[in-house]
Amino acid sequence: MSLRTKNMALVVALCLFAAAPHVGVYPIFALKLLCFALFAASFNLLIGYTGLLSFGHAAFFGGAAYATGYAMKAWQLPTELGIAFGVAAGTLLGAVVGALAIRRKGIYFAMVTLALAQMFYFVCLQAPFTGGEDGLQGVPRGRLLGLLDMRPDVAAYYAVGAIVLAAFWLIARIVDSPFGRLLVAVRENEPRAVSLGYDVDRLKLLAFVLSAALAGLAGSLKTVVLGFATLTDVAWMMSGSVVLMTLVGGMGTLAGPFVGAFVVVLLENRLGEAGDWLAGATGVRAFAEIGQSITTVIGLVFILCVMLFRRGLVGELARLLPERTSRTSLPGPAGPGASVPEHR
Amino acid sequence: MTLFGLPMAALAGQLLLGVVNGAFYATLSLGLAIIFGLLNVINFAHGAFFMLGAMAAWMGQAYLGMGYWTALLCVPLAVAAVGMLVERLLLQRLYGLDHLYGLLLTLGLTLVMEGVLRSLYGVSGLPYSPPASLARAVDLGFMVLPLYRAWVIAASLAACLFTWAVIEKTRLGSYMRAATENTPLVRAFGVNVPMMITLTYGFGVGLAGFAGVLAAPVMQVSPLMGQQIIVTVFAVVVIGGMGSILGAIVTGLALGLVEAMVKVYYPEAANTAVFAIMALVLLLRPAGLFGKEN
Amino acid sequence: MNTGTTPPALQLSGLHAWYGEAQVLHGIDLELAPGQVAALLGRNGAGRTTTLRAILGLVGRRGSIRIDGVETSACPTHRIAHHGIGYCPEERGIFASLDCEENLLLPPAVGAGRRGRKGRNGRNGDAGRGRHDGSDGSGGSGPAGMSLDEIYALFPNLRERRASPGTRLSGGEQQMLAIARVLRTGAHILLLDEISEGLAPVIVQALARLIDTLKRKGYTILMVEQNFRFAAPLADRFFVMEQGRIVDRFESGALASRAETLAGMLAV
Repeated sequence: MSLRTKNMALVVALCLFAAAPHVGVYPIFALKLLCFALFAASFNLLIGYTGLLSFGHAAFFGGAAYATGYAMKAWQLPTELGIAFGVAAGTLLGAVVGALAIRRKGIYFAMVTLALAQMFYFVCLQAPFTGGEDGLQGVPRGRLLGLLDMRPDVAAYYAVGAIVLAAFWLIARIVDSPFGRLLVAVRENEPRAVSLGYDVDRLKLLAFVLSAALAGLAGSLKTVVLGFATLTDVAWMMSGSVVLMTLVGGMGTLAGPFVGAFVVVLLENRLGEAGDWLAGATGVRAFAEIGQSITTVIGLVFILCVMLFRRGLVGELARLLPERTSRTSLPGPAGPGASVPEHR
Repeated sequence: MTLFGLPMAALAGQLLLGVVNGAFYATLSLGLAIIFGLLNVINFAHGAFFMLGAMAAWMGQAYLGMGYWTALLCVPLAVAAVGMLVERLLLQRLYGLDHLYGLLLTLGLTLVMEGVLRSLYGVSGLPYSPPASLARAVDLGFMVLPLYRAWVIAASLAACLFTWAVIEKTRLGSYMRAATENTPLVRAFGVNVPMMITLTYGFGVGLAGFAGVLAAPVMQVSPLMGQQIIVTVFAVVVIGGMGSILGAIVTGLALGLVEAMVKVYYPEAANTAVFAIMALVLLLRPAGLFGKEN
Repeated sequence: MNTGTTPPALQLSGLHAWYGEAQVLHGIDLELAPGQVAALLGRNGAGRTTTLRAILGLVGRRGSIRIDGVETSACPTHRIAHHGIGYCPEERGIFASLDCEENLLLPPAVGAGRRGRKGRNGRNGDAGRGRHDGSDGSGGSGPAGMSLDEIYALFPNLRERRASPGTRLSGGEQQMLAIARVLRTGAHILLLDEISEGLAPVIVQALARLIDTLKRKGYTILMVEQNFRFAAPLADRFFVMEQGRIVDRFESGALASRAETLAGMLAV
């Protein structure tokens, strides 16, 4: 895809974004989508470009969600400070988890992140300021920069949208930078990077912390938008969801997380209806039952994607488009992919 | 008499529970380690197969009037069969790819297994009683020993030691150890490694199913059983390191005991004790206590 | 080349091979009569090891591979050995988690003479429970697979080290072990990859005597060798490879006249 096409696509996307609330898209849905798209993008930075599978990203998302919620509800901080506090919390958690997890390689890394995130879940379950099973409710939206009242959904939509877009732009810049290219190099051939003299552990940790910070931003925004933070935000199912979003959308692509988040959020919100509709259309009652079970459907989608559909929606789409005329500066949608030689 | 501020009988009782949990941790982490060694796949579905074993035992009793001992024999075989089907149809196609995909597939499987059983049976615990022959307790003087729990420990240890013996002492075991080190060469020698891999996966999850049947009378039988235990088992595996079979067994038992002790004296931290230890081990000995990983 | 009724022990026609996306062999034609010893010469990277691996199905391949006249190019790897192939890889492949004797007993019996009972379905090739002690050598057309005692008679130092972990053996002992274990299986076609590499001259001489003994017993041997002086007195036939193709082939009689051009082709 030439640079011109890409820029045009970007402009179209921006127009769609600006117009959305005025053409009947439900703002809360769009806001939720924005937050999760950012969450997925932060995860994608880690898996798609650095090749690290973190199975506990919910800790950063949820941790920041709680932090922002508490800051804005108990301390009455203005919106921008509340968000900043949440991001700081996510970053700090990221640094701690990252420092511990980096000590193991490959698949152990994923297990360690999962276990540490689970530990954090239990901490959140029992800590006094999180509200336990009920969570933090009634978090105010506040005023952004003392100017913008965030309570009207449309205002919140544009504000959050701008922040998320800025974050996506930041990710694109990171991916495009020498640092980003180093990450891809580490993913493709770590021993080579080490032999070239790079401190690979530090690079990975840096990528991890960045990813955690962005996940934290997503969590903070989610609290501001939806007004609550609960245990669901730190549960491993949330970590699993973000993995799915990235897989469905396409690992290692820039648009993938957005598409994946869209599909998964839509699925989670509309599953019951879809199941009922399918049951009605086909006369098979089982569909209605399955529609009640998000877990089962998500599991099936996972299996389908892994077996048949590894490149994700954006990845498959990119394959169908005509060849790029030149190797652009962005790394290809390579993610751990079908033609990677076996390492045993 | 009291020990560390607790009456002896109560303390012993708690420790026994810890050893029972430890026995489950040992059996499950052993199965995980075997599967990982040969297939290079982290079997996220291990907890789900554990749960399947317990649920199958319950279903056998509820629908077929199947007794405990029959279940103990048949259910692990059935679970192993399911596992082999999964390996043949799904996992086998992922071997050339990044490890990530095996983990994601087994994650998807976990969700499907849990989701289906959940929609059928809900999340509350289903009752399953221990067999009559073991449903009593023996007074040992310093504590009262429930026979069933002693059986769980004995059976688990026996299963683990049997597995260890097969792997370390038999010809089949030597094929497995060799294939773990250098799969292509073992295939080149004419050993049917793909079949061995299928059998290994089946055996690993069959072991989990066996643990599930053992667990049915002592834990809440519910579709959520696997979820609750798998993350702890992961932590156990990280602590022990996956290089050594005896290491997995010892670590599992030890951590069950530690968890029990923490529960007695500092209950709020009971859930997180194992993870805290994992964090400590990662700081001090990243390869794991018995790890041979380079 | 062969006189009609007995098919060649090994016959490669138009063999192409790939590592992933990279093509390494570009159409290899090669033939070995039963009982012949051939040396595969060439520089590093010429594709010699890949040729052996292609025979075993360890790399992507296309073309015809016939073992004793039977087409095996579509066989999965674990069936190929049962046609009577024994493989000594370049890195020796001694397993660290097995002791010396376990290493020795590992490869299952593949003797050609047993084809009716064992070779085809491979059942005796795997899940045995420790009852196979190698006394089931193959009868039939090829040389018999040696029993454990015969192996230890031929390699006494392996008996001494039988309980040591495989990788604690010296380089020479490991090489002996690698050869011994395929001799035990009853294989009658041996694929040897750089067996003299990195070994002391005394050991190399012992290896040469061993290969000579095997040759006289009727084994068919295809060996990849960098060490020309090791291969020259042993081989009946020579193939020279370069960049995935065979660029020269000749019998041992023509060796002297080829010496100079050969030196040029093999010079690093």
